[in-house]
This record gives sequence, C-alpha cells and structure tokens, in this order.
Amino acid sequence: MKRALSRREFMCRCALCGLGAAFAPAWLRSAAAAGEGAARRIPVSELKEAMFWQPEAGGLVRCLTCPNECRREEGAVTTCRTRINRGGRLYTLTYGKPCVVFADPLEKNPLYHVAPGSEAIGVATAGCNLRCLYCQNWNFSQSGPWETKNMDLSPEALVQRVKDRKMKWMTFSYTEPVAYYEYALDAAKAAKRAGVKTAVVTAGYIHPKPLEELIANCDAFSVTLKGYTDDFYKRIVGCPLNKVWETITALDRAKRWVEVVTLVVPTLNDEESGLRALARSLAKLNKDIPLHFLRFSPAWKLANLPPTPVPTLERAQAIAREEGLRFVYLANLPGHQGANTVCPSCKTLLVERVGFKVLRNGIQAGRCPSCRAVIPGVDL
Amino acid sequence: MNARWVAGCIVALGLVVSRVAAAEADAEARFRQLERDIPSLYLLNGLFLTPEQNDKLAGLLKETSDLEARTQDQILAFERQHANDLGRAIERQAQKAAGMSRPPKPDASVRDVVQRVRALHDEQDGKLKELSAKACGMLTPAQREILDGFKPCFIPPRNFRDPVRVGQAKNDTGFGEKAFDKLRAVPESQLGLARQRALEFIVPYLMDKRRIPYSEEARDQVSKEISANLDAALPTIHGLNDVDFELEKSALVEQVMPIEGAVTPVRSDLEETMWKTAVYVLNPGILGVVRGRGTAQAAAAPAYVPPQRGEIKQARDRMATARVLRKLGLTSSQIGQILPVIRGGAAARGKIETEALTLEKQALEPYEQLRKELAAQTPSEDAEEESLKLHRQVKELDEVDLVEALRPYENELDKILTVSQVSVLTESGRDDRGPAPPPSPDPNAARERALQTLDRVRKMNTVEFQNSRQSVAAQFVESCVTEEESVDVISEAERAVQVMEKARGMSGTDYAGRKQDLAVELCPRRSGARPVAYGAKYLRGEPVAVLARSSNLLFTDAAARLLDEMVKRSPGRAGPP
Repeated sequence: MKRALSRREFMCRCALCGLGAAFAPAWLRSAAAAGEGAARRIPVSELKEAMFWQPEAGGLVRCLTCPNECRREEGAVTTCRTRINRGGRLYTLTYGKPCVVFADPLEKNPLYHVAPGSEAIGVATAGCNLRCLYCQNWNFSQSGPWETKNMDLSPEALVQRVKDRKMKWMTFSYTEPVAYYEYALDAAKAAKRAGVKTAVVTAGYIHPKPLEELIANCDAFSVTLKGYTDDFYKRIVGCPLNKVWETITALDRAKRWVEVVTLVVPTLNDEESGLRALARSLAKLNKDIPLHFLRFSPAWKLANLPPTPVPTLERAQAIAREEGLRFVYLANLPGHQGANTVCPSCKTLLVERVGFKVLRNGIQAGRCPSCRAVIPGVDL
Repeated sequence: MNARWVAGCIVALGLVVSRVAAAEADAEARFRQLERDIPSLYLLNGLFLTPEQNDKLAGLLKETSDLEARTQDQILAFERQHANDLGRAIERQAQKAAGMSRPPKPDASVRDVVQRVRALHDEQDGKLKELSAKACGMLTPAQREILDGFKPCFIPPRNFRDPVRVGQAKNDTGFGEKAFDKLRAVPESQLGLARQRALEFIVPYLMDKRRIPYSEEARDQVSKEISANLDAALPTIHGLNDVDFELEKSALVEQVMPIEGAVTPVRSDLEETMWKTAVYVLNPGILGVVRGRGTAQAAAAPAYVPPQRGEIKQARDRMATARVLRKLGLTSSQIGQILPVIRGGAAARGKIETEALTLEKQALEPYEQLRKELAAQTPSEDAEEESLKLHRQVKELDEVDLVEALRPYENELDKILTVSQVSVLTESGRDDRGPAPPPSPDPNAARERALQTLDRVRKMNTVEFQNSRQSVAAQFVESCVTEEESVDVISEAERAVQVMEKARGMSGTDYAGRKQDLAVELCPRRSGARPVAYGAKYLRGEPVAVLARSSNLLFTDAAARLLDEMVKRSPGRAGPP
C-alpha cells in the first residue's frame, strides 16, 4: 500500500504547481510564437503557393479557400494555421507534409454506402479552419504544422502506397481537408489518373469554387452537419450554418455521393424538434442521402458533458426515418442494430456491421437481393 | 446485581454482536456482487440488446437465479443433514493421524458426502451451460462478435480508438507501437541496448496478456520467442521510412508480439464464450436493469441477494483443512509446535481481512453510484475513477499484502515440518493453467522409513554404528529428497546422526513412547524458504506471488480451532516445546 504524503511534501508540491500555473501561459505563448516564427523562416522555394487567394493593398493577402476569408499581413498565418503570407503571396505550409497516415475501413468515416468492407489509406495534416469545442482530434486540428511531427509524402507517393497495398480507395480524414486543400486536390488528381478513388471527410466549410474542383476529382464525401441552428454553429463550431448546407446541396446537385454525419451532443443539439428539422431539410434535398447519428464522447473543451444517452440516438434515428430519410444509421455503437443497412423497401437486412467491421454484405450489384430495389451508393 | 438484568444484557450483547457480524457479511456479499454487476453492465451496454432480447434475457436470468438458489438449498440441506457425522469423521481422522504412523483410510461417509456435493455442483454447471447456450443463441452475429471479443476487466480502460468501452481492447497494439516508436528513435549504435531494454518491458507485458503463470522457464520461453521475432523485425522497424512505418506498425506489433502465442489456452474459444456468458451475461444481479429495458419497461426490481455461500464455504474449508492435516501425518509434538504459528498466521490474515472489509464498505457507495450510472448507460469518469481506485486497493490487499503477511508464517512452518510434509503443502500452490506438478513424496512413507532406520540403528552394536552412522544417515536423507527441494544434505545428515544417537541412548520404554516424534525429527528439513509460487497475474509488470491453497486453509481461525481440539484429545497431550 502507498504511503501518504507528509505535510512538507504536500506544501512543496502545491508551491511547484502554483509556479507552473503562473508561468505556463507565458511559456506556451512564447513556444507558439517560436513555432510560427519557424514557419516564417522556411524558404519560399520549399512552399507551395495556395490556389485560391487574392492580393490586397499594403502587401496583404486574402485567402479564398473557405468563408473565413482570412486577411493577413506579411508573415502572418491564417486561422487554419496552414497558410502564410510571404512576400505578398499566400502559401500553404502543409503540402506533402501529413502528420497522420493511416489505413482504416471506409466505414470509420463513416461511409456506409461506399465499397462496404473496403480499407483505404488516408492522410491528414495539422490545422483546421474551425474550432469545434468537442474535437476528438484537437491535438492535430488545433495545432500548426510547426507543432506536429510531420512526414514527407508527396501526392504521387501517397497514391503509390495505395496501389502497392492493392487498395482502391484513398481518404482525407482525421483533420479538415480544406486546411490542406492543395495537397488533397493534387493527391485526388493523381489518384484519378491511377484509377484510385478518393473519399473526403469534411465539415463542409468551403467556398464554392474550391469545392467544384474537389467535386470534379473526388468520388465520395462525408460531410459533418454538426447542428441545426446558426447559434449552435457559431457558439460551438465557430462558423455559420448556411455555408455547410450550401456544400451539401452543391454535392447533391453535382450527383456526387454524399453521406451526412451529425454528432448528437447532450444539451446542445439533442432536441427532438431540431433533429426533426434537420432530417426534414435533408429529406427534402434527397431522401437517399444516408444520415449518421454519432454518439458524443466528452473531449477537449466539452469534457464536462456526459456521453449521449443511447435512447436519445435511437429516438433521433426513428425521427429521421419518420421524416422520410431511407438510410439512417447509428454509426459508433458497435453491436447496435442501428449500424446495419436494411432495404428501405422490403426491410431485408443487407449489410450487417459491428463497429467498423462488415460481417456480411448481401447487396448484389447495387440491389437488394430480395426485392431488387436499387440501393444507392458507390461500388456496392 | 439483578440476575435477570444481567442475563438480559448478555442476550442483548449477543444480539448486537450477531447483528454486526451479519451486517458485515452482508456488506461483503454486496461488495462481491457489485464487483460482478459492474463488468456485467459494461458488457450489457455494449451488446445493445433490443427490448425483445432484453425480455428473453430477463427470463433466462430468472431461471439462473432460481437454479442457483435451488442448488444452494440442496447442498446446504445435504451438508446440514450430515454435518455432525462429517464433523466427527473429519476430526476423528485428524486425531488418529496424529497418533499413528499411517492414518486410516478416509471414512466412506466422508467420501460419499463429498461426491454427492460435487454431483450437485456438476448438475448445476450442466444446467448453466444450457442456459448460456440459449443466451448466446439469441444474439445477432454482431453482438456475438462483441461477446467473443470481450475480455473481462472491472472497468474498461479509456481508449480513444474505441470510445464505446465493453472490456479490455481485443487487439490493442498501442503498447507495442509505443515501444517500436522508441526503438526507431534510437541511433543504430545504441540499438542493441535499446532492444534489450524493450524486451524487459515486452516480455512481462506479454506474459500478463497471455495469462501465463510466471516461472523462470516460462519467462525464458517467451523471451526466446520475442527475441527471435524482434531480431527478425528490427531492420524493418528501424529501416522503414516514417510513412511506411505508420502504415505497417500495428501489423509489425502483431507479428513480433502476438497475444495468442505458443501457450495452449486453458479453454477453447467456445468454452471461453460460454464461461463469459455464464458469469457476466447470466448474472442475476442485473435482472432489474434488463427488465427495465424490456418491452414492458418494468420498474426496478429489489437488489439481488446472492445465495449465502458463507456456511457452505466454511464447511467445505473445514473438510479441506482436515484433509490437509490428515495428509501431513503430524505427530502430537508437531501439532503443539505448529499451533502458535497457525494462530499467528490467522491473526495476520484477520488483520488484512479487517482492512479489506473497511475498504469494501467504503467502496459500496461509489460502486452503487457507478452501477446506477451504468444502468442509465452514462457512466461518468468521476464514478469510474473512484470505483477503480478502491477496487485496486482491495485487490492489492487480497493478492499482494496477504501473501506478504503470511509468507513469514509459511517459513516458520517449514522449519517445523519435514521436507516431505512441506511438499504436501506446496503441491496445490500452482495455478491451474500451469503444468501439473510431479506427485509429492508421501510424508508417511518417509516417516515409516525413518522408524525402520531408527529400529535398525538401535539394534547395531557400538562399532557397527560408529562405522556406518554417516552413510546410514546420508542414505536416509537422500531418500527423502526430490530434485525440487532445497535441502543441505550434509548438514541434515549430521543432524540425523545426532537423532540416531539420541534414539540409541533411550531406554526401551522411552523409545517406544517417543519413536513417532523421533522419526519425524530424523526426517530432513528444508534449508531455505520454499520457492515463491506465481500465478498468471501481474502487477505493474511484475508477477504476483500466490499462496499455496494449503496456506489459505491453515492460516485461519478454523484451522487453529481444529488443531486446538486435536491437542486436547490426542494421546500424550503434547504442547509446544
């Protein structure tokens, strides 16, 4: 059994903690400043120019990749921490420099109607253009590339890895691809040339023109629709809601495969009326868009909230079905029947899943084997 | 003083004492039940049963609860019916064993009772297997996958990769990945040392995960396996570029340190699933929760009270204790010598048990809170941390502190007993998963040989004895020792010569009265403490020593009382020297 602390030891530890707390913010600020300073010293020849930006008076630049439209002076970094003004031009700091490389099932994104049971290699870099208070990957997404351990992986080398492992899909996931837009787009183009398909997992906060390029070169999208009110979006995510709806609408109109994901957070976006409004809007757009409800796990700045009760998620699923959506899932409850794909016409169980694993896929050439109803998706 | 008043006080005091004892037994029983309910509820929450499945499970749980209660009633009734006979038979045996060179064969009545109780348990096990099969049969393939992969632990660790926590992660490669990350960071010139260091962490980790009972041979076997795997993989681990390493590392970990290794598991996969179902799914303690999740959403049932096993356990332990004492073949002198050691050990155990009971009572509130939150499927980090802290403290008391407290008494006992008698005590000290121990030498056979040796030397003339005493002593000592025991043959042979001389110097009457004691004195003793026995549990990377089953039986108040009776009733009534 461990011995108790003596009074002296306790007082010493308290004093050390107090000193640490007093000096930590200053130390952290100076560390961050030193990091950004390092970004300013990278030779321009090693940087890739951003695609969507415009110069402004006084040597400023305005980024036009996402609606943040960050306007920055010389040497300053954008909100997403991945672009920098150097000599009056905007450059990306994360091109070919992922901090995460992974091989995961497509179901993890979640993408349930895209090549069920397939694995994909994916990348993510540091940075994000949003500030979701409950981000599970905050240690990458809320960091600049000077704060993460990065690898060298050109778009072509990434695609080669996919082909070497005889995989057919590549994904951009874990952090926001809009933050590493140029890298993602070039990789998607290289993949397309090589016969590899690309899935993009995004919060959808992107301008129309960059989105068009992604639509032209990528094959499937998982868009996180985090809530159903503008107030929620501004408070919890840090951007307006309408831009995300525009992205989902644009993807659907372009006939690109899209699945929508909503993380249900207790007390913030779990009201029945709101979930019903969300489902109704989505069904109005396209009843075949799969909607995934995810269970919230306490993280980062919302570590004080409880996990979403399972009955809340089950109710959300029922509501979404009542509003006419044909494919509604509970995606991160391994073992729950809510993760299975059921034929909306004859209710035959088509795909049985546990977690990210597909136990059984009964879809035949994109159709239900019982009633021959078309099951929408990609490579089913 | 008014006699009636005094009598009333005594009765009241007795009632209070018995109420306190009953309350403590209830607290302990409730603690044990909660220790089962909590992992059961994690598993239940992870299975996401439909309301219809919950209804079916509720039915099976009721059947299980009735089966347990019925079997316990039958066993209790049977043992009560035979309690007096049993008690007398056992004590008679132990007493006779004290006075004889070879104890009588076990009474047929004792054998019959033991067999009947065993048959009742086997019947219960058979029915439980049927119920387990029904429970498994109602699960979907996805749920069955969850159950098959479930590794029981009290509270599942928080794992970012798997936010829905059921049990320990099935194929958690995190530990190995961290080790390989460190190996990659080391310059080539220091790789040898880093590799050695990595093995020091990986080997105990893997033995723990594979649940291999610790022994030097087992450790060397695992070390050899992992060394070879690591040497083959090291060029890859060190040589891959960062990207390919990220993509390959979990596969590398599974290749170098597979959890399912060379050791044959105790149970097959199916048996393992059936066992988990019986313990964690068919736990009558969660019946109320299951009912509440059914189609009718029944109101909470009263807390489940498991059948009281205390009485049965006490009776069983008394029988087992008496069996051990019978096997030892103690002389009346030895009984007197070991009695204070047994009392000391029992007192040490009592102290640990009191401390454990205090912690268990303290744990009831946080456990109940966590259970409530699990029933609502929203366990909080605070409740989990508090419960886990207390669980670990109780576990450490039971598994580490108790062993440390009783080891000195084991060592004292080993000084009094012969080496063959100590072998009897240690033969049941190994984990069931370990290899079967070699059969221990019969202490009574050793004692008979000792008697024959003493009779022989008493018949020798002086010259014959002078010439042959060393060789006779050495031969006798060597005949009592197997490879496993640590005996200083030379010292013990010298001591044996002294005993033989003592025997030769006695009159015929004295010798006849004391020859059993002399025979025991002649038998060799261990020269050092008995080797530490380990099970398959590890604490912070170190194997946890286990007590021999005999120590759990002997260092108890029940054993002390039994020995007391034997001292009072045995012929010659020898006490401590």
